[in-house]
Amino acid sequence: MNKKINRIGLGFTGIVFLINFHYYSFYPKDYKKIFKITETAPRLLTDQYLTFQKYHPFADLFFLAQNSHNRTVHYLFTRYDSESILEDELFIRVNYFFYPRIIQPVTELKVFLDLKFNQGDLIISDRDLILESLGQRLKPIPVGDIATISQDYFFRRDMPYYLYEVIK
Amino acid sequence: MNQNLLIIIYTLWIYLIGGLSLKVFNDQLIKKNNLFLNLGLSWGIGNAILILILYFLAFAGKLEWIQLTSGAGLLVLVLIGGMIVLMKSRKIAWRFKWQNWLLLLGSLIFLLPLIRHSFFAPLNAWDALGVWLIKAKALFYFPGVIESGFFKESFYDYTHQDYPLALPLLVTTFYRLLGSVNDQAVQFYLLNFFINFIFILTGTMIQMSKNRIALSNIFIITLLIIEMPNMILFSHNGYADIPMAFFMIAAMKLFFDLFSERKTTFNTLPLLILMTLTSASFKVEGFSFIGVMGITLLIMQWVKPKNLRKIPLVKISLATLIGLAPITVWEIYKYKQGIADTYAGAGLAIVNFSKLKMIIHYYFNELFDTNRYLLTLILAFFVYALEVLFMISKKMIISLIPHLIIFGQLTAYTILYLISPHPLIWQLSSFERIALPLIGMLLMLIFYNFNCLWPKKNES
Repeated sequence: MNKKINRIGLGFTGIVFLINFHYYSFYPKDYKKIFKITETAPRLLTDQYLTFQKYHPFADLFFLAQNSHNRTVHYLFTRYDSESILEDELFIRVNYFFYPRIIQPVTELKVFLDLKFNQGDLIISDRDLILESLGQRLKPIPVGDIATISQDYFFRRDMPYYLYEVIK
Repeated sequence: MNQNLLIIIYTLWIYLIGGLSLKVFNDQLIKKNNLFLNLGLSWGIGNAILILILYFLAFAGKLEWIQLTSGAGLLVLVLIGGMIVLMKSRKIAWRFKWQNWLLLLGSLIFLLPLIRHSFFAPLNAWDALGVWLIKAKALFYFPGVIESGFFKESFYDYTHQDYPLALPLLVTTFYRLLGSVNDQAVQFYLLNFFINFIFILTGTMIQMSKNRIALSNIFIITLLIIEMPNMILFSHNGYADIPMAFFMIAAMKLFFDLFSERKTTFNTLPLLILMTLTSASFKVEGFSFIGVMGITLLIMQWVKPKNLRKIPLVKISLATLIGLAPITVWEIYKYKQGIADTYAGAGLAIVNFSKLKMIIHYYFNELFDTNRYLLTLILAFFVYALEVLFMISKKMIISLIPHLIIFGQLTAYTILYLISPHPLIWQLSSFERIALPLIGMLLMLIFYNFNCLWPKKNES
């Protein structure tokens, strides 16, 4: 193919590349937010697994799972819908983070409130329980404000979740 | 051992084992191929061999054999093997043109954000956590498929327990070498499927252009593919679609070789079989690809008969064994254990042709979705359509045979959507991912068509 056609081709693909790059450039910029929010410089030869997990929109759930050995965990899952269970972000993360433990969800609030809770038990819930009858026995475990966590192309958390520790 | 260093060594080990196998079993192909194609094929072969071993260990309940010490021992053995092979052909790496090395470096620089992201970002994608890597955890905590109990536990029905195990097994190998679950660094390993997906495309472009298209143009086209947001999104986020897409387009490239070869050698057939079968170890869509590739090969043999006596039976048997054994073992296990198939209940009885209109509408939506593919896919489709029209007008019907692969796979998806018992909207949401191999095929076909329409003068 002669040089002229190659030059025209280069010009054309070059223009398309520049237009595309304008929309692509979000990516190299966006992914760096991880390092800002975790206030950590990435180092290839340092184990930073737990540090960067702080960037996870479900980081608090992850760290709860890491520190929940020998503690009873209760899970209220009122959004349960067997047809779209895989689409529930909280459900898949509870199962993933706690594996090999199975945390059986309770899908009705009334049934959940009738459960026997002991001091030190942990609760994961898809609704705020502070105003419920159980509320006075609970100490909320702070869940990172989603506004402080980057909501970008890759990291989202559409629905809130709540964590508690039973204190009495 | 440091997590990042270990994942780099694990990844390089797979390239090495694949490269050595390629060198031993098909040295001719190495000589014929450029740097990108050899890297891509090495990655594919290395993974295919490892998958066979891992399936064997997983069903024998011996995954605990995978440890840092056994891994290091195996690495030393492979290195010794590599030295012996390389001593016989010292110039192997430098035989590739320096321009190709430069192109490789340029592409890697552009991929740098993705590489850094894969090392340092937490795993967060839906199916990665809900379907694929939870199984990797099960195979980390327990020594085998049966011992884990995971695949028969009704609580985990939602994870699609019937899906193939290649991805979870490859991930769990890293976990076992490391001694802990680390779903962050392992994304670098997964990213290599995307990198090699790009390598196969670039290598094919270089080979098909036969020096007529400047490397600078090929470089820009490579970047146009890399910067598509939908590619970036699935490049390393723990989904099995890009690994499957990689094996599919590698198989398609090998089909081009087989289809175009003048001497009947069937030189690439064993690898083609291996790549095709391995795609089904990642996702069920690979099964339709096996069917489509098989039919296309039969049509090729019918239209352009080749001397079947020259088929390398030993190599084909070996490739079939490596590719077929994992999927056969898994299917037998599923059948015996009564693991429900995701598509159980699918059937012609529920075909409603009003769905077809919606499906086709969805396909076109995907094609014109500039959020996902920027301008690249629309332009690529436009060029492709023009080329095909041109080929039809020139009555180059036989040259259109490789197009059966992309149309066959799309037809298979359409049939699956039509007969699926699941809600159509939910099913169609998967198209953004299972379309990725089709996009790779489309891009390759553009260069194949170019080569057919305007063959190099001394070849026409």
